[in-house]
Amino acid sequence: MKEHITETEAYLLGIMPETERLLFEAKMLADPALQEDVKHQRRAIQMIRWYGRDLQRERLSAIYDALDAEFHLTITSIFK
Amino acid sequence: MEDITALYRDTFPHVARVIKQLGGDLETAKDLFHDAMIIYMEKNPPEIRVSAKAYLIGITRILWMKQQKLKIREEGLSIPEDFYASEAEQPLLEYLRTAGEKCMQLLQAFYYEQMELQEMADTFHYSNVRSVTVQKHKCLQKVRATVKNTMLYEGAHN
Repeated sequence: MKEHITETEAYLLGIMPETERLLFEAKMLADPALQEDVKHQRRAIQMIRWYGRDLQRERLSAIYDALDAEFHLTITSIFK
Repeated sequence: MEDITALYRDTFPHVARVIKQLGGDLETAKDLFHDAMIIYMEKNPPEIRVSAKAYLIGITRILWMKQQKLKIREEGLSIPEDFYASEAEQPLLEYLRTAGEKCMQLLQAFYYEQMELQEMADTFHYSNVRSVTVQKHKCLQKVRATVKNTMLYEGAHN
């Protein structure tokens, strides 16, 4: 189970060499548990990416808040 | 981040005028612009054929049309298919955000920001690359287990 994480990672990130990838896919076909692990890991990585985007949104909001008065005046006048 | 700040300061007023013209308010303009900035930062500069400013205005406009469920005519610009987490994904994401914040921060640095391990060790105060690698591994295992349990739960309730 533990070593699957590393293998699955290489598979999901698309950095697995061709022959290894084919072997891994064959292994998945024969092993439903491995198939499930891959599915869960794929969703985990997706969650991590969405989380990363949310952190970026927070950083960008902080940039907006910290910008100078002239900038804020321009923006306010646009939406008047 | 200075480049990003300069780009922000320079571009947002243009985006704001466009969104205002289309009938949007400041909050909407900000939200859509932030998403456009994120899409921009996720791209490799060589993939973008127009100026950063033109790209950001174009992407914000597309995001607006998507939000308003309007037909998108602009060509050559696209947003990643899985850019937004769907409603169905929100509860799990929220759970991971609160219950697993430390792990999620570490993992996003690697999988999203694509930080080097050495930089991660420095940022998260690990003594060396090996210990940050071990921790990243443990965290991924933990998040994967959470995903698995949630999917079992969802499966049982569908």
